[in-house]
Amino acid sequence: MLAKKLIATVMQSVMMRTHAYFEGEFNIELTEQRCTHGQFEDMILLDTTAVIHVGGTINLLIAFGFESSLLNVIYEKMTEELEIELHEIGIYRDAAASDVINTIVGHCTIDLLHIDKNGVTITPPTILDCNHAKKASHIKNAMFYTVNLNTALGKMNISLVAQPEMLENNFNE
Amino acid sequence: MDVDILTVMVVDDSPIIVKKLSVMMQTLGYKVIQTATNGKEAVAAYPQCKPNVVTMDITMPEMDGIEATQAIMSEFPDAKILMITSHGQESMVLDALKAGAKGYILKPFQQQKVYETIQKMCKRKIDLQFF
Repeated sequence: MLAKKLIATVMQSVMMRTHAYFEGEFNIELTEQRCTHGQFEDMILLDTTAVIHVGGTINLLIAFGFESSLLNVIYEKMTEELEIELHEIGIYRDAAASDVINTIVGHCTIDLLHIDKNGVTITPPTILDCNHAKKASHIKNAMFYTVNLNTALGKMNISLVAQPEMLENNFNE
Repeated sequence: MDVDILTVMVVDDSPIIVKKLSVMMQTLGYKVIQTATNGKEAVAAYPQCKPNVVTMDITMPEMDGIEATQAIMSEFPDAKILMITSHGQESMVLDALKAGAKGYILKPFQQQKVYETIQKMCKRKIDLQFF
């Protein structure tokens, strides 16, 4: 599959699954704003960003960024009926961001199976530490493609991060 | 078996999922006797606690849920392992079943589905009070 088509297919799947998940689980409506792209070191990170690596033929990072106000609401909804100690709140807020991306990207693997007959692999989610991530050699030269989203409760964004040869073709169209 | 409290080990790297499943199991009248945050921990803990049911995530650090299921099933072929995962690929479901899992639930999970699947896995009666 051409890199351009691959990126479009992945983003389309992620967007569809994200809309469905946010509306179904949290009753939060997302509106898509402008798209941005560029060098990874110029990527604007929101307050909390969770990342998953999709392996195999696809081989890119998917990042979900959340403004604190939105993540707080997601955290509250995901942990209602659970007893969380005061000192655990930070861990559980990060876990909420991780669970959102894990569920959505996990569902995307169903849509993306035709791209990689050997199966689409995903890593466990991690919370991006921008200072470390931007120095990491394997993504130092990477490029990003971001869809910015608005909700009534705050902003979020979804980014695909990949090596330049995968994304440059998209930007130059 | 119906009169005994069914024991459960919850395996997931997400603290929210571990807590949610633990609360849900308690509501359903089951007892969570062990939790683990990756496959390696689960494989090490299983022989000590020998739960009636294991709920197992797939994508986890250290050792994933498929490998852990294989490892547990090779030593304890009667183990009842239920995959609860966001990984929806058909090939992954098949891999999990081949590894020995008895059931597969896609996240986000519903209490009724978890209950029905566990009751069927353990050949227990379905009690309508949980619907």
